[in-house]
Amino acid sequence: MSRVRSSWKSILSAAVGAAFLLLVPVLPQYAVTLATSIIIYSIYVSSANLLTGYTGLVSLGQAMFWGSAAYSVAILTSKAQITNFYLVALIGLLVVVLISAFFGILALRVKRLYFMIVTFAFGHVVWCIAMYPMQKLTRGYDGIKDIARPELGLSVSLATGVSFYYFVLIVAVICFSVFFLIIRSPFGHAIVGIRDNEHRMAALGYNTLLYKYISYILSAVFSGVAGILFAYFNGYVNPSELHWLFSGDALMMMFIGGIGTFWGPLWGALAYTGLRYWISSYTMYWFGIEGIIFILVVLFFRGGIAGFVMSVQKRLKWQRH
Amino acid sequence: MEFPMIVSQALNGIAFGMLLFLLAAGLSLMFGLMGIVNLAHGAYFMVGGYVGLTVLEITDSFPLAIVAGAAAGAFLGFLTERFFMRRLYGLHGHETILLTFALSLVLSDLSLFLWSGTPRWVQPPAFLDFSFSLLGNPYPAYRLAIILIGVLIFVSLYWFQERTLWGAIVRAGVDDKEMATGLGINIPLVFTMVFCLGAFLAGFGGFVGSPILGLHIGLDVEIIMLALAVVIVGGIGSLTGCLATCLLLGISDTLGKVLWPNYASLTIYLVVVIVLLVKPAGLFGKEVK
Repeated sequence: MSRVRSSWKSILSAAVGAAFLLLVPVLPQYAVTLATSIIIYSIYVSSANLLTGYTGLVSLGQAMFWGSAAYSVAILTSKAQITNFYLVALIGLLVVVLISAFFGILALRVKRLYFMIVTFAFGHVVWCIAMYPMQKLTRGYDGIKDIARPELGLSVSLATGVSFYYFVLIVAVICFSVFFLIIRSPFGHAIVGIRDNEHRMAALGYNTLLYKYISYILSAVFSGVAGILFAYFNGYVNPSELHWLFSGDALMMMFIGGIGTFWGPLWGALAYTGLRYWISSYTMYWFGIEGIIFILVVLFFRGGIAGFVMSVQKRLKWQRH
Repeated sequence: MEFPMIVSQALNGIAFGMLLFLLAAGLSLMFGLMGIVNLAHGAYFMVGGYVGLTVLEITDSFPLAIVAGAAAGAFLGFLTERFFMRRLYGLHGHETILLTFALSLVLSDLSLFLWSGTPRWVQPPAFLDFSFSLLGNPYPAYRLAIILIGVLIFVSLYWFQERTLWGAIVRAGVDDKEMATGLGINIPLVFTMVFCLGAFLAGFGGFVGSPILGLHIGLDVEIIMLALAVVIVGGIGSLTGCLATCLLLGISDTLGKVLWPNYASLTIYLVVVIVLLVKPAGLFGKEVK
């Protein structure tokens, strides 16, 4: 029976994958833009999922990594005029690693809800620092405009929407493969063990704090990758990329997709971005409607899309028996 | 900075700290009793302020506006607890965070719809709308009134918690819910009451604070950030600890803004970082976890 299920699943995944890969060149411009942002968001949400879904640390500070990477790209390309993509990306990730290494030490001193509040506060600190003391660099509330698409030093140009889409897709495939390897590795099993029962893992001799710290930094790095892609994709970075609301969005997309599941973040990003695109075209009160959708999801679809798919599968299995 | 200036800035800080206390007292009580972080708490504050403003414009009565703001907060708290939170107790904890986050989004957009995005200011009531001389500098009487109100609220909360049967029931609930239930205490009812009380204070603070802080969309987020900082720095435990932390953060925020205007409210978070480094359970936290 498990073979039937896994083949059913892989056919579905393959179909979705093929759709992402092949349909794009024939789609209109707005759909390519939408698909690109969905993929970038799915990397971001996956990174948050590594920390929240797999390690059990609910963080409300994920936007600080996405945003600081995006701002690094914006400042390096538009102010410092650095055109080498690899150098910009490297510095951006280095900034994220430093920030997460610093705040991780502080935030992991407390647990559970306290951890969430502390990450929330740190996100706000970084936002404040970017808006006020660093205003000359970040241009405050105005944000930074005119970020050129990256030059990879290869013969392909990323200037068009479709070519940039494929670039994002390749990076996403790499990221998701790495996520897969992390989750299947002994490290991945250890963080899931910590999520389920930290005391037991500590008693087994695991240095749980170190595992959580590494997970925190890894999660930050992948959020940073997504943030870098986003800065180049959007061509414009504004304060909302650093804002805690965007950290909340990560949690929400994760929850809609299915918390602690591998493909959940992709489903969540797809549903969220699609809904926002659709609803924003009718009303300016997207946040309020987003809130109502979130409330309904938390109350009635707690497993998210992945949980729903799983329950349908279970029901099918029952009927076959 | 000269001495009289320092005194008036410190008083400003205390007044701000008192407003924070109105918010943080409810927040930390909910945290202690129900183990939840209510991100919608700042929205009660903001909506309370706006409702008070509307009532003030209609009736031209400041006391009535205060009552309306507080009642609006309590009503929102009641709705939140009865229809949403009740379904989520005993789950992981991130569900309640997501739900209250979503609720604050809804309330914020609803406020934008009802009261528009233009920042509003509320005039203090006529009998308090004057300044008196404090060490040679003029100082607004309304801020002193806020300090007085804060002290009054603190004293009555303290009396409620330590000297009344209801306070004893709440304390019992914080310590051991199961045992309290076994003794015949209706814990769900206690939850609702505490939620309403906390939200009542938030709505009250929202309108009472509006002559100082003003009313604008986004106030909910600004104020909840500070109240959460209070919870981190003070830890959960005592009401007195909560007040002391609010005053500490209120004063350091106000002085920080005067001394380093470019750094906005970062002084508060400097305090947060130092406390986390030195005493992660918070200055007045009871348990080390």
